[in-house]
Amino acid sequence: MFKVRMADAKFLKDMISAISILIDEATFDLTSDGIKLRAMDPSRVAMVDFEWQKTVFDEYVCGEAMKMCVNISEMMKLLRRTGKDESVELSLDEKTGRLKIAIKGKYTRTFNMPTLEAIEEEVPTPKVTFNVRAKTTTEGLREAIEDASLVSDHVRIEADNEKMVMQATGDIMGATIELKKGSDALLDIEAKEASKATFSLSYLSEIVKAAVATSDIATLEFSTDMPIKLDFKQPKEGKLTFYLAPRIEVE
Amino acid sequence: MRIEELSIPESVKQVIITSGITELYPPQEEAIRAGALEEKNLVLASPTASGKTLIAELCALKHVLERDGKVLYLTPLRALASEKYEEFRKYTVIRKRNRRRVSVGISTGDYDSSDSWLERYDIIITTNEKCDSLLRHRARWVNEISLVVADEVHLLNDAERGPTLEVVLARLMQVNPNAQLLALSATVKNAEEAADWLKADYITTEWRPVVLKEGVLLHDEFHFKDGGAQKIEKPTKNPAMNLALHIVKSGGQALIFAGTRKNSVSLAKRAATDMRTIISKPMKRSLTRIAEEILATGERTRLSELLAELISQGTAFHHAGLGGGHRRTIEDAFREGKIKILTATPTLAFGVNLPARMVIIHDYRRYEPGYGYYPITVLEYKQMAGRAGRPRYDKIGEALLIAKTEDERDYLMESYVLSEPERIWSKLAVERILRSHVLATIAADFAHTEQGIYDFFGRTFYAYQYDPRAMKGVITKILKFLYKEKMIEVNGENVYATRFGRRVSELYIDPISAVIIREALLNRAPKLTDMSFLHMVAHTPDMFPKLRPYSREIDNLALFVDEHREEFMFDVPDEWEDRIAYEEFLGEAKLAWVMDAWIEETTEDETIEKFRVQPGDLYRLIQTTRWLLYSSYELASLFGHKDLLPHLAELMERTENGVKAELLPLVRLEGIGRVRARTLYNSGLKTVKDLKEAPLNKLVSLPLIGPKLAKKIKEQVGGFVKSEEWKKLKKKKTLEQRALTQY
Repeated sequence: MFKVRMADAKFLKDMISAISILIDEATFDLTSDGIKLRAMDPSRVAMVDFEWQKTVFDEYVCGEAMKMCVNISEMMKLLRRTGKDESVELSLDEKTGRLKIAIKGKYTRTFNMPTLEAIEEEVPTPKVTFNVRAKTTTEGLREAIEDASLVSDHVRIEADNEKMVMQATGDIMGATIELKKGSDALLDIEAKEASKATFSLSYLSEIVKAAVATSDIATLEFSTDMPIKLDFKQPKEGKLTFYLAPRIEVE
Repeated sequence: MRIEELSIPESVKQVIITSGITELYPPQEEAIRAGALEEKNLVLASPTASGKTLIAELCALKHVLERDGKVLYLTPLRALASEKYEEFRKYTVIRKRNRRRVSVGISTGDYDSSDSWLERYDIIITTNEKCDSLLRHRARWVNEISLVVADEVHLLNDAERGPTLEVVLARLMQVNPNAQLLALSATVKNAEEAADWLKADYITTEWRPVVLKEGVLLHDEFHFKDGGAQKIEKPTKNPAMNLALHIVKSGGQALIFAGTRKNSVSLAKRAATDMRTIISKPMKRSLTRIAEEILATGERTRLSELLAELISQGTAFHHAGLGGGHRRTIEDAFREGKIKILTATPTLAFGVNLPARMVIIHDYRRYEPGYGYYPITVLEYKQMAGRAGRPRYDKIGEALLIAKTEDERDYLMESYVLSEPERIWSKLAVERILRSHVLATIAADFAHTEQGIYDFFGRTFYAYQYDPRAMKGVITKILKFLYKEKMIEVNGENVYATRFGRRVSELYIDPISAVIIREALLNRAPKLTDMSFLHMVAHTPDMFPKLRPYSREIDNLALFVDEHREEFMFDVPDEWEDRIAYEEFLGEAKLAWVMDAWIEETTEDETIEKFRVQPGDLYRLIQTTRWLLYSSYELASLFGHKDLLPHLAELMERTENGVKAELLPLVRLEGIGRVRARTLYNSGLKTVKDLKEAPLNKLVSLPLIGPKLAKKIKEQVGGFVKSEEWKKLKKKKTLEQRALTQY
């Protein structure tokens, strides 16, 4: 059986919202320790690696380990109905395969939705040696990416031991955003060697915009022309990490 | 039975296990038990996706690795040949006893060649037609074949394709009586007959890897064969659409079979409207990329624009009017689960493997011009229904017919869902079809006496099913015809092909076509133009299917025929005396007109607008026209019409490329098609010399020509590229999004 409760429904809503940025149908691994999800977006450009220990929940019961696949945007539709100071309860009816979502607060409403046939697909972590590791405030990162989004659909990120520079070149306009080590935005940076890589802004900005609600601190890791890893530090025991493949210059 | 336990080389086991298969399916096990690996002839009749191909793979590798054998794999369609080629390629990592790697070759085109290069390969994949032509050329390696795999043999029942398959198998049994024969078929009622004919054992099962539930939908309720019933929501007025949306909402995909292209398009359009709210943002992002890919493939037409628009909503249509590139993109996107609702014409059911959770058979009636509506066969129904259920993804597959009334529901349940597929019947004994095979039998030395010919045809499936004597009358008639037209000569008891006859057989054309071309080349039109030759080939029976004039086109075509009367090689039938022949002539004139427009550089989009001929049809017309022009060239040179050769050669090349003569030097360059050639020409780069002298940046400044192509052009014309000039250009780079799976 699977049944969990969270006193603050917003916490769950924000997390599902972050996942729904990339994932269409999500297969969650449910175990007695907690829940996990690793999945790639349909274009196979980005992936999400998410984990919540059972301690994140106010109540957590999971008998046998199992997989649960749901249409995440449908689930999001229901969770959007949660308001301030409301709690949420998820329970899976294994017989009917339906997921029950009970929202309690001003009044109680119980939704149920179908689960889908789980897809057994191993999603391997990209094998990358990262040369740069930058710690930013999630809000600062979001601002910088929003600046870049004004002029282009992609951004080049360059870093050395002192700073991180985002360079966006559009058809008409351009932008350079410089984050210095020790500033409000860039808390820390280490670079084994100076590196630069280019990424799609539509992915980056959606990821960061969604993650900002769940996390204050973000750690970026990347190398020249390699995928970037964005880890959003979670307030409780869990993780939310994204990987995004780069854009590469071709002749 | 586990893969480990099989008596096949370890290396083969490794490849199969790596591909994720460890255990045999029950029908596969039966095939092994029946002696598939011990060179027993076998007919395997079982549903789609029950793993027949794996048995063929095991047998093939056994022959290649343990017996130094050679394998011939026959498929009915080019698309299937490529599919099998890809599947066999995984074995090329294995080394044979002589330390060389296992090699796989494919040949589907050019019917006038013995393709001696195929000899190098261990596993050779061809279409039935290509194999027939290879046999006519007496390709030497055919004698070395130790295993013949014939795929989709239930096609023996097909009036167009069946006879070729039957003749090919009979010929292979004659040339190579010791080769093992493995025939793969859908479930049919008389597999034992086919087996008996092929001197084979047979296995026939209904087993499927995914359970199939068949039923009928009436309004909002569907009834299954097993008595179960289920209600669905009715968000729209179209029951089939409600069904498709129902399955999409529960995470599946739907494949809808429509009766006509037009229906498939309108169903896809309707689906797109309803899908708009269902498609999630991440999926939409991915679909947009596929839509862009569609627009970047081939010429842009109203058809490709509509397709791209629909794909971005998670739906698409699939029919023979689409070009091959577009069809492949759609097939891949459906397999990856991105296109949720695919509407298709029935051709898809007989082509590539494209399973879906739910199959909806929207129309169980077909329309044939001049014949009216008729219900499809159970065999056809089973082929479509059999596409339901994706192995490894779906627990069950559902296939549903659509009924409008209770009576109709009962009728459909009775006549399709609860019915067994029909027997298959040979369609060989038709004069039109036999003509070419009788000539080939003589010309390719399969028989040299009248009795020998009867004997050969006595070994066909037709002779097995009916009385061989039933064919004798037709064959005698054909022999008389071939003699009269000087394609064969008689010397006492013996019959030989003349040079003419042998060439006709090798060119793979109908003897009647050859006579039509021969007469036309001799008598000639009063005014010889491109139209004369294009119409000549359109007039032959090998131009098939012909275009039919739409009723609103008739006046216009009549005018066209009148204007070009002097250019036709044949008399125009009288409009009032023989209406049918006249309209047929108009159809041929239309076809010639379409081809003429093509070589006058009409765009594909204009061709759709003006003639209602879609890209897929256009490509087929181009292929057939080119082949018949080639045959005309060969016959013209055989009959000494030297004066016609340059015109025919030019026309052939123009047909292949779709250009006016002035562009020919440009399209001969690699990477230059009709559109780019026109761009170059119009900017003043008209010859190879012009290109050689033009500066690189002038080339790059033209639309559709990037630095890479510009360099390639320069290399081909022998022009010189300064290194600094090249470096400067290389700076202009484009960004390409990588996939995460690449790391």
